[in-house]
Amino acid sequence: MILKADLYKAHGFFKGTYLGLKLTIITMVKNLFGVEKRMTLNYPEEKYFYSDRFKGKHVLTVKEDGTLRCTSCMLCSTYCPAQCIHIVAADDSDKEVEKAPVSFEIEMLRCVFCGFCEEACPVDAIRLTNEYEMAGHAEQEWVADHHELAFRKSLNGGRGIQSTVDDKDRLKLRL
Amino acid sequence: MTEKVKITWNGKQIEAVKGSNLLQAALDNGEQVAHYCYHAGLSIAGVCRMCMVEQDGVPRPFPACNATCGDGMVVRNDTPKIKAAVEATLQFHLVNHPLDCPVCDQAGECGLQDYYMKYGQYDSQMIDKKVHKEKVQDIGKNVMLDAERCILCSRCTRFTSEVTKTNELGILNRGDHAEINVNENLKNDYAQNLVDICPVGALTSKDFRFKQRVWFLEEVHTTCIGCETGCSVKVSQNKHGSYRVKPVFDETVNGHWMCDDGRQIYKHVSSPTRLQNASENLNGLFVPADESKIVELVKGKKAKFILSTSLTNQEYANFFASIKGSKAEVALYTLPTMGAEFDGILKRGDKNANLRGAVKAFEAAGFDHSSAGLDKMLNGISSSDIVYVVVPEILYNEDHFNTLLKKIEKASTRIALTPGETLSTMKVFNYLLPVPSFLEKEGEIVNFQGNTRKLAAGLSYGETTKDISYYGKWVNV
Repeated sequence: MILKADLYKAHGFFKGTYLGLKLTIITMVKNLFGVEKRMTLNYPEEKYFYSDRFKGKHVLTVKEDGTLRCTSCMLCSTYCPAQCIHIVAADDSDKEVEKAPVSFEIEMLRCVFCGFCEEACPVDAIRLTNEYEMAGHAEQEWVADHHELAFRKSLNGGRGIQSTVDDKDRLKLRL
Repeated sequence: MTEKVKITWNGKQIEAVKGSNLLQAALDNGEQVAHYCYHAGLSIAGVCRMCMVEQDGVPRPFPACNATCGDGMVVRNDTPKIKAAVEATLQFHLVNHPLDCPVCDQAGECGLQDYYMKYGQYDSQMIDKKVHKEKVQDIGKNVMLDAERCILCSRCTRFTSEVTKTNELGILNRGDHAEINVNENLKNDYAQNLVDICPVGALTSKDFRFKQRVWFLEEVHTTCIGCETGCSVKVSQNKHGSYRVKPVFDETVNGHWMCDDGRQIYKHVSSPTRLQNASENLNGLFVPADESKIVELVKGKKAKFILSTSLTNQEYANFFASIKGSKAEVALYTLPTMGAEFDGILKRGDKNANLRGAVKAFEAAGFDHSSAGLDKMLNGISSSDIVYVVVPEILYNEDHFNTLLKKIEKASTRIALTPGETLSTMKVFNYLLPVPSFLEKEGEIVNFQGNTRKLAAGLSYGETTKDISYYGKWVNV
């Protein structure tokens, strides 16, 4: 603690105290009467809004038929600097889809939220959202599987977020 | 004809055998030449037009794969003209090639990807839609065909007509509707080589399908222990397991190929049912046991050892050196012959990978390696004996092995040293001990020609020992 002894010496106790707390007192008065906007929030009643570019909790997009857009090409797990993405691929019964993940897991505690997975994805299957509230207890809760990543309640009430590039469009164009 | 000639390749002097293939001569000298249809083990087709070169005094570029080496040739493939030719050719190859890289197993080791990054990097000039062909066709023998991805290099059709002489594959239709397909499903025993020689993802392995991406894998150059041929192979593996076996060119033994049976040899190594630690039999259920307890139990008792033929020369030598002076009896279990003695290409009926090494070691140590010796030992088993059985790495014929197991039931303690999975018939044993598989140990084996073949140690999956004198340890106690 730094006591500015000079203030007391020069101004005496009361004036010295006032001078020391000058900025605090002015800010308090301004905030009390609404002259200046407060920097703090009454979290969790009030929530901060982050922009869409915020790198928060991942989301796996879905196709029109409600299945995962991911083709399990493994580019995200290759690119991931934290090596926290684990995908198990398998044959899909639909020949046009051919390959689809049977399991897609992200270890949330390992993830550094760099957004490289989003960048690496060739089919817009993974995005980082502005969801930032990720509290939990046991470590097991922190491995997010594809049910949570794609169909959690906050994403259109569990219906998931539509991918911008769908297989149908790609096949229609045949490019 | 081994007359050497001098060729100037891109201004650099290279030496080649007169009349040999110009492309092969360049590749042997470490030069980079794009090629799809050329394969050293197959005839020349000259259809992909990627290996174009320019020669002084010749007005037009020509494919190097169809040219022979002559003295004083001055050849270049780094001129702007050749680069333009290769890029244009690549554009034609990719006209109908689908953008399947995210789902294609070949991605990462694909000729089209490699050469596009090296010679292509153009913007597509196509305004027409791509021709659609049938995807995901199972053409038998663990091979999957995707007709769309094919660039018609004809390596596979040449393989079936020249190497296996079974002619299952052919190119059907004409123009941009041309595609490879089968009349009836593949029936040869070398079908997986088609997957290796396919430069694109048209032919992929069903066994390896979607298991791993190739860039996650490391390769271990070792020797196949599937039969006495001892083909030179590489096993792709990572910390999660082993995934596939591919042949490595070896002029003296297997050339470019290997058989489909040999592709299965990796399976027990990282199998989830593989024996991980010393186990004790509790009424048919194997539970982990302390190895030192087993050592205590067998101390001072008469040991009877039945070795397998899949150990390395070093392991045999170490074993016999350590049992010198003990009263232990040793016999050799040889695997029964499967199928024809020799199928004309590579596969041999004798499945004992290191029979010659074993025989040599037995003879040097003065033990009987014949089946009569094994029978004699089995008949002489008394209830006070301890029988050790080194389980062969790959059991093609489990019934034959089970008859051996029936004969050792008389012994008081039966111990198996197994590098593989725990089979249901292994309930006859009191204890199971894990030993390293062929992929986890270094050493040498002797193949049918008497050639020494090297085994290399890759990643380890079990808690198995690296100590090659492990087998001998059980006699000394």
